Amino acid sequence: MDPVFMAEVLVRLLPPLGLTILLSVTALAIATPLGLALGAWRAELPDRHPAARLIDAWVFFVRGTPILIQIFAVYFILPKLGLQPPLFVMGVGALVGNSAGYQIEIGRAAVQSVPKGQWEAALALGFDRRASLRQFILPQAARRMVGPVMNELSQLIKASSVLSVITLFELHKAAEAISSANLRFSEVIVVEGFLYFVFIFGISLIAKAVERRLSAAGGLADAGSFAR
Amino acid sequence: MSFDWAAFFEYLPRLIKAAGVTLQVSLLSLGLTCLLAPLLAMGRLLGPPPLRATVQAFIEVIRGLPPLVVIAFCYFALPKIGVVLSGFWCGVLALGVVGAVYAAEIIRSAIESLGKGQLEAALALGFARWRAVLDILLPQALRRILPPLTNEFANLIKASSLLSVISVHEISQVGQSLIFETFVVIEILVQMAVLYLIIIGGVSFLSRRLEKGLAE
Amino acid sequence: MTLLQARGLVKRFGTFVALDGVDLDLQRGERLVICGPSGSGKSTLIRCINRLEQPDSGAITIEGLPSTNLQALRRRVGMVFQQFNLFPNLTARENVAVAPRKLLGLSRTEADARAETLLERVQLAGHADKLPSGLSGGQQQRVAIARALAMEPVLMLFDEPTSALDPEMIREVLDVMVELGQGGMSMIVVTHEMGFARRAADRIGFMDQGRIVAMAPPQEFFDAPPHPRLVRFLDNILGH
Ligand SMILES: Nc1ncnc2c1ncn2[C@@H]1O[C@H](COP(=O)(O)OP(=O)(O)OP(=O)(O)O)[C@@H](O)[C@H]1O
Ligand SMILES: [Mg+2]
Repeated sequence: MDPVFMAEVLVRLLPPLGLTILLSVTALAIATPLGLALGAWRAELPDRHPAARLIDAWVFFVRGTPILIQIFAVYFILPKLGLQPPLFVMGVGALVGNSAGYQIEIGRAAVQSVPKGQWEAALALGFDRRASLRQFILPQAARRMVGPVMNELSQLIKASSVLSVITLFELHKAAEAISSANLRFSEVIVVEGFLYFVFIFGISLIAKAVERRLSAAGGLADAGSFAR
Repeated sequence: MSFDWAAFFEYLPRLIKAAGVTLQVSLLSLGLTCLLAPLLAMGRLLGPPPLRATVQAFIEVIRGLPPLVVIAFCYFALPKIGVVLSGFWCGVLALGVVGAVYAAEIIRSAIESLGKGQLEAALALGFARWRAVLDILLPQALRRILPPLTNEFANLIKASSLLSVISVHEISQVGQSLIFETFVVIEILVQMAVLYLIIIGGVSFLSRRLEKGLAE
Repeated sequence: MTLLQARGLVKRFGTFVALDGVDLDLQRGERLVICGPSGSGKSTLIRCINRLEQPDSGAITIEGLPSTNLQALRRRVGMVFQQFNLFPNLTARENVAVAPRKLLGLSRTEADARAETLLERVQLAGHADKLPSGLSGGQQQRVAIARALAMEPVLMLFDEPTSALDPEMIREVLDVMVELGQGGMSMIVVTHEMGFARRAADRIGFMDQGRIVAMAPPQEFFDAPPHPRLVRFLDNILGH
């Protein structure tokens, strides 16, 4: 282990780390409103509704295939359709599609976790279903979404590493390039791992603190899944 | 864009063979996960304070890394300390460890969710702490552990796609090189997706069955 | 004058018949108590009245009009639940003010003023700014009553409003309900509080297996129970 070399690597990895964060945050900013809204809507739709089927199919595909396949799908199919957007846009697109699929489930579970009595109270007062949802159910569901959505940011940072396979120069691809140029794999991986860890662990600490503040009852924090 | 069924069937056998590798590597890492996860969970719940802290740190570090980085570490860094593994076994090790860390958290939170009452009742009866956890808490926690654990298996299968970067000939690697070899894109992508959907869908189906069975 | 008229109400859950042809009339200002064994269909009956459950057949009119518009119907019928069902993210005042403000178009000041008045009426003047989690069960239930009253309903439905309460809080809720009845409110109350029934009801109905099998004024209901099942029920509940 050569500390000088590692310090050098650290500095060289900062811009790609910036790109990783930019990718993840952009994807989150698009996927969260999209996914949660679709999820809340889905919670209200009967299973046989065409829109419900479409949403379910999306969720099924996203959860049933590795993100690698989803990235390939964007990367190989868009050019076939005559579209050639920049890699960054393809990367964000793949992450959005993936994350929205998972967030649909977050939104839907949050809405469905609001006790039935809350619906009944609102309906009994004379609110229709739509107004009940907007006025009473969504604000309560929103609190339960905060933790999982913050969790989603770390999932996206992890998932964005897979974008290295389409030579998008995010943190992992950059580290790969440096290590194969210098043939000093272990040192680069340690630095790379350190950078990922600091961010992801930091986010998880913040998420926990926020969640504790928002509800003693506890949100829907999942014990964590590691692969997309 | 038209779908070329001839090409589809021409390449299907190779992908089905690759699906076998995907299954093998996933099952072997699941085995490693099942071996390691209880040890990690017990170390964290019952170990002496230094062990507890070490286990917790290990868990947090692995959770803070993309699986791809853990795979790269096993493949590139372990040989430096004399551990040289083939891509396949390297993948089993990396996925098994990552899986174990998440599974350990599932076990721990299931046991903790039982609440203090059960532990105290057992202690009051004269059980030692570790006996109380193993004999009283763990059996109760088991029904809460199994469904998310099968879900972890689905995650292992998804993560096995990442082993394409260290040339394990599983679905993603084979599919990817076929695409570059033949420029048959759609047909091969569809095969890859469908194979994963069948395997992962099958696992989640079993998981739901299990959950229902346990609920009764 | 007849306020509520229900004819031939039938409600099935799957093959199970929860309401088996119920007829019910309620005069304006009348206070009706309904009791009966668990599972006899009491909740289902009053939930059909404000259509939280959709009856499979039968007809309900309120003030002579069939209820074609669900929301309009529910605005005129207040409901109090066993589990209170207050909105946990709103203060007591907001819980009471939200429906008049959003549904009746009252301004915030008007709605708040109405809420203050109602909270005073249920003896909670000082608690307007508290969240439900900061109130006792009895206090929460009284906020729930105020919330229902805020829509100025012509009929109030209560589904076992004191069953989830500790004994020392039952009284404060029942007192509010007695007062409400004395003020002329038409009410249907599902409860097993026989003291309340004796004190406040004009008539008491007894349900069994999805039917109202007995209906009588309190005196007759207790002293000459008009149905053999009722005799046993009263024996159990009054601990004779
Ligand atoms: N949504 C539902 N789905 C299926 N069965 C139901 C449903 N709601 C009520 N039931 C059944 O209908 C019957 C009557 O229920 P209801 O709640 O009206 O009884 P109740 O008289 O209010 O009893 P309790 O005193 O326990 O509240 C019960 O057997 C119940 O199991
Ligand atoms: Mg009931």
